[in-house]
Amino acid sequence: MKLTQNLNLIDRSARGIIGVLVTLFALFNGSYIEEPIIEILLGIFGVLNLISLFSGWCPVYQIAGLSTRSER
Amino acid sequence: MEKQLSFIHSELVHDQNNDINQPFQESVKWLIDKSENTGLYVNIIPLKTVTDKHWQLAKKISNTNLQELLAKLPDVSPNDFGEIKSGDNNYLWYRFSGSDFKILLITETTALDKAMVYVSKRLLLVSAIVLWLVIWLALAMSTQIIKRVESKNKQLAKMATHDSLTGLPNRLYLEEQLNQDLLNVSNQDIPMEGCLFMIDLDKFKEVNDSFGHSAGDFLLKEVAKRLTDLLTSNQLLVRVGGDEFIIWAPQLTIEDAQIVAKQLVKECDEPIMINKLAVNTGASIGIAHYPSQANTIEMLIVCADTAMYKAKQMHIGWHLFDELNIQDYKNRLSLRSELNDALLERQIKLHYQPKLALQTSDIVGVEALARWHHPQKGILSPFHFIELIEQSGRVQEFGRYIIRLAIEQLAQWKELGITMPIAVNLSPYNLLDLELVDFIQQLLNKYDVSANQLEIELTENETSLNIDIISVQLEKLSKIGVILAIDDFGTGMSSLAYIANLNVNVIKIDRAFIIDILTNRKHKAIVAATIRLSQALNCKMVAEGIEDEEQLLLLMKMGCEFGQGYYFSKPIPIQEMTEQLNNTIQA
Repeated sequence: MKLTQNLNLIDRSARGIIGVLVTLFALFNGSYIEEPIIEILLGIFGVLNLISLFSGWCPVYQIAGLSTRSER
Repeated sequence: MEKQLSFIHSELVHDQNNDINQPFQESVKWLIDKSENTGLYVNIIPLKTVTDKHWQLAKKISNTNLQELLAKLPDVSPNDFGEIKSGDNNYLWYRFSGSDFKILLITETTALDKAMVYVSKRLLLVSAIVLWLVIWLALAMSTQIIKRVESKNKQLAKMATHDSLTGLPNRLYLEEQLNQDLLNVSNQDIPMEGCLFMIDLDKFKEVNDSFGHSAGDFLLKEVAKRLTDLLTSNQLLVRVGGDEFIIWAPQLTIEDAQIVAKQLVKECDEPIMINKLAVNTGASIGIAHYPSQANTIEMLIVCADTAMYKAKQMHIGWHLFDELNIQDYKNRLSLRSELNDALLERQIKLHYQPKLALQTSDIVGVEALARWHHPQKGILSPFHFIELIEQSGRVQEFGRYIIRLAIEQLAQWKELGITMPIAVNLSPYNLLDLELVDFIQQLLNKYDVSANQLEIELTENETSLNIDIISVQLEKLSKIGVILAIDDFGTGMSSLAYIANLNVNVIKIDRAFIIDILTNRKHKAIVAATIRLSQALNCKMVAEGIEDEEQLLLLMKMGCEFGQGYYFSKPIPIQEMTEQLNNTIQA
């Protein structure tokens, strides 16, 4: 699977915001959830979004063959 | 049994100095009943006097600091209720009062309440995650479906516009492309021009019939590959059906087109190996130029087609369209449509050219030649219609038709007392008709004609493919007594192979050698050699195309026994022939 960017700027920043919020919540307020499995899942979700933020690449888009990035 | 999940703290206030009055006692009883039934604990606290015993009871209920809880109670109206929180737990309180008493009830929220909060918190989170997954899944699946539909559509579009055998585009695609090229010229400064090449393979039908369809398919693929290799990037090769290809070359002048045509012809003439046999496919190419010769797409294709036909008819490889062609084309179209009627109504008749023994000038046989007695156009020579018959795939039907006419004629003559062999021209292609021999035998039996009255002249050309089948057929013919002749000897490719393999009765040397026999020493030598060959093989030798007396005398001197040609007689209709034969018999 080639790691080519497939997100445009809006997509990428929206994911960034979600990723930061979710990751912070999972880290600092995780006890609220009272369930470690869900906490871990939430953490993974947050981290995936953070990866999308930094790399501009989304694995699910890759699998689905989608791209919101305009071809140049 | 202790109830740990809930407790009640109650305060009963009464005047310490008085006895416990009636309503108070009832209240206490009510509370105690309720605690029995619902699992609440009751604490009765006399005003200002809280005994250890009372607290003990209260503490037993929960390890909550009761004082803290009491401190949190809002001190408002005497009759009220609400919820307070202490530590991890929630409590419901209820305060009511009478004239001489006050009751405060505090109960822990029930297990159900706690469970609801617990569940709803998780439910919210889990549903958020599930929603996230579902959205992704839906996204991925819908994209997959769209992709699949798109690729299917692409396949369908390709199927509609491409030929499955060669992978080349088809006529539909060509027309779209031409529409684009010729009609959307607005964005170009240079005027649009281009040449259309119509390519038709000469030997496709023969290959298909003698080697089977897979060989034909192979031939088409091979030719398609060769043509593709010759093209430049902006030229388009399409297969329009059968063995016809079209090349559309935009921005190509007529002069350049002729160079390209030569290359194409050369490429198609390179032999192709089929079943370990080298086959020269040969192609006829017609060229039409846009816009000088045709200015619509339909006309362009028609013009190229017409030119191709001309090229095919004249065996010249390629031909550039000219105005005269179009009349030809119309004629050909009308003849093609009338061909069926011609065969049904027997408009195609046989004319006869006598063959003579040169020494005695006696007629020893006649050659039957087909003529189309066309109702409007008069008598047409085979030049005008043989091509049509070949193109419409009725060669074998036509062969049988001619043989039937000849045998019927033999029967008629027999009744008149004339015994004169008739020679019929057949191409090896006719011999691929596997039931031909049976057909001939049946007709001979039906009309009671002896087989040696019928002579088959094999017009031998490059189409002599699959010599195995042909040899077997000729042997069968020979066995039933039909006389075999090689026609146009010396011009074909494998005449000698025929003679070596088959029991040929007659060799007819081609007119090309006779016509200049007086001046061309080489031709004379070939004729002499052929005469010796025929003597050695013990077969008759006929010289075709004798036109004057000098040729006749020379041939006689060289030892040629038989001849035919305009010097003696041109082909004549049956009535004249019958008369002539009658005269010779009477004489």
